[in-house]
Amino acid sequence: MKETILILASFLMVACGGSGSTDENNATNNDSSEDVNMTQGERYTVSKGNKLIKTSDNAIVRILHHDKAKTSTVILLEGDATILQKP
Amino acid sequence: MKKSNLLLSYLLVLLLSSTNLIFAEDNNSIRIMPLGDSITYDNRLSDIDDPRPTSVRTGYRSHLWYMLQNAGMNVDFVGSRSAGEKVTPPFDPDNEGHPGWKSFDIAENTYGYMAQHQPDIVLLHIGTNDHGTFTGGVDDILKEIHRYSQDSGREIHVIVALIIDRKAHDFIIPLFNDNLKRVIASHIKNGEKISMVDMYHDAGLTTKDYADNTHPLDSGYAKMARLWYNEIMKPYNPRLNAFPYTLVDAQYIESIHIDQNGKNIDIVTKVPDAGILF
Repeated sequence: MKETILILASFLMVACGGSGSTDENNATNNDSSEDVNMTQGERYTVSKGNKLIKTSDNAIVRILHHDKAKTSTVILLEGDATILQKP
Repeated sequence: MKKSNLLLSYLLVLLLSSTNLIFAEDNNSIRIMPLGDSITYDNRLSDIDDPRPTSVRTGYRSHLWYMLQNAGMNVDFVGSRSAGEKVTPPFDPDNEGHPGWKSFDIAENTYGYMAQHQPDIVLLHIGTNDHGTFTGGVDDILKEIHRYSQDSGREIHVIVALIIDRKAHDFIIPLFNDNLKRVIASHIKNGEKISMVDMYHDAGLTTKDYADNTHPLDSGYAKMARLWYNEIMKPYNPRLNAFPYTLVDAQYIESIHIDQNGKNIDIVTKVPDAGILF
């Protein structure tokens, strides 16, 4: 019985946010209204309605876009920047 | 007729002839149409009570003309209206600026303007009199220009401005401009030769650059002219302009790689003060 409870507990812990690490942060699937502070070198997926603003004097980003995709990928190269969620 | 009058008439004819020579149409010139409202024509609210002669109203047009001349460009400003013919140095006063007009008023006449004056480049600053966030009128203008291009086979490069703010900040205008970006993007995606200048942010107008709450002074118009000039002189890159979401102005872009098909785009860019709206 104890073993069963431990196994169930393990499953629950994973389901409640056991972190699988991902290579890409998704700014668009975040349902909360919180803005996303970018980290240099990380990849962020953005879509129509998102707005990227700089929070330091100079910020440089790389934007990768495919014509048929509905999203773009943004990587912060220099400075600080934030992705604002859709209004 | 007295001799003095005869001489005066002769001098007048000579003067007019020489002016016409300066701005005579040239088949090799680039035909540029300044299209818009009072900000294009150069009308101020104070002109209602104490009108300046139209012959001294220049807006951004004179500044732009001088810049293009200094760059050795052979240009011909075109339009059914004229304002600024008495300023010195002289410039081509032809334009299509209609004080008080809304975007829909311009749209109703756009096809005719294109057919009559056959511009190569249209400089469009319109929407201030719309007093709203709806950009359907500008959309209609671009559709009419495209319709004329299709009918005539004439390629027209339309440079659309995100419009300037009022002296006392008007919260409507940024909302209008945000909607305008989407309209511009949809037309670019449709394959039309359109680019954008951000007069709202990039012209750098301050409260000191305004004659009243709506219309710039000469100093403000000079700043606007600089942006038009930069865009006219910049090589048009259809693949970059097709980039549908960000519309990052080329001045911020540090490097760009577009694959042969123009489908995959890799841009390294500074983030403008206004941010990047996806």
